[in-house]
Amino acid sequence: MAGQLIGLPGIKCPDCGAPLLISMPDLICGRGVECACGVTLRVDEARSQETLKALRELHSRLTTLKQP
Amino acid sequence: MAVRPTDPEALHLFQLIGAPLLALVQAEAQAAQASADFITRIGFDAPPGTQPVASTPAEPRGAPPSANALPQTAGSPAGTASASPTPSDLGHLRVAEFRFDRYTPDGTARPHVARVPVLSLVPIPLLQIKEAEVDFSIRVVSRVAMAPRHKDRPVDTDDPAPDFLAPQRLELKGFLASNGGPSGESVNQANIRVRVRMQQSDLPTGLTKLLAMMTDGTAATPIPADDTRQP
Repeated sequence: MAGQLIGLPGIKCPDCGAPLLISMPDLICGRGVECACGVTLRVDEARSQETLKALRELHSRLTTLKQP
Repeated sequence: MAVRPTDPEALHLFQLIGAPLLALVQAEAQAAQASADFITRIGFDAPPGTQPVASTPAEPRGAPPSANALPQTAGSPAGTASASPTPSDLGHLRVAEFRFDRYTPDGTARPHVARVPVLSLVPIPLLQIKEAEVDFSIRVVSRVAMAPRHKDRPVDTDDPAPDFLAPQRLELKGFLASNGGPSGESVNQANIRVRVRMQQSDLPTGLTKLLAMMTDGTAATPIPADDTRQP
């Protein structure tokens, strides 16, 4: 196993296995995450529509909770 | 209502000490329930036609789902539908799909897709009590002699009876007493001061294994040429 991500939010590079950290804003805004090996992953918004909807809802609620 | 030393409502010392400790344990249980709810609602698609199975701490199990439950998606990856889902099912693992290109030796880009479980993409809130400090005063109002456990046995120093080293056991009863005001003045109400420090708990072994399986199981597959959907 090239990297450890247990407990940290992210994915493993499908090519080299390196752990790639990705933030919630990057995820829900559809920004890509780039690996040092050159692979760039982008969320397929069409296929992940329902998932992104749930994540946006979660992000919205977390943001609301953090406000004083 | 004022209490009197003879009040039968006086509590045993172990009850007075145990109640805040019990509350701490119950608080941790509620935090664990909230974490389980998070995993259920974010990590899984509820089966079509069902409601979220998890409850919030404020709602008893079996109560109707709250109006603020996160939306449950009916869609799921193709081929993962269960034949007969029941309301108690967690549902299907919710995934996000990532597109990327792999290149052939001649430099041609071949689009691929990697399906990643959402639970590995977001931090899972797992909290536990790291330290708790409970500060209160007890006004002892009575004592109760405990009966020896072995009344019929003769008192003998060689007898290894359970009461041997504590032959005259007592239980104390009392009330929570006031601690005094900020400047030392007398106050009428008893208070318990509780200071709790929380910390992110270690991942439970089962969850660690689940996340490891999810992360290791991230498979990349080529996208068929006739799939025209773009990221």
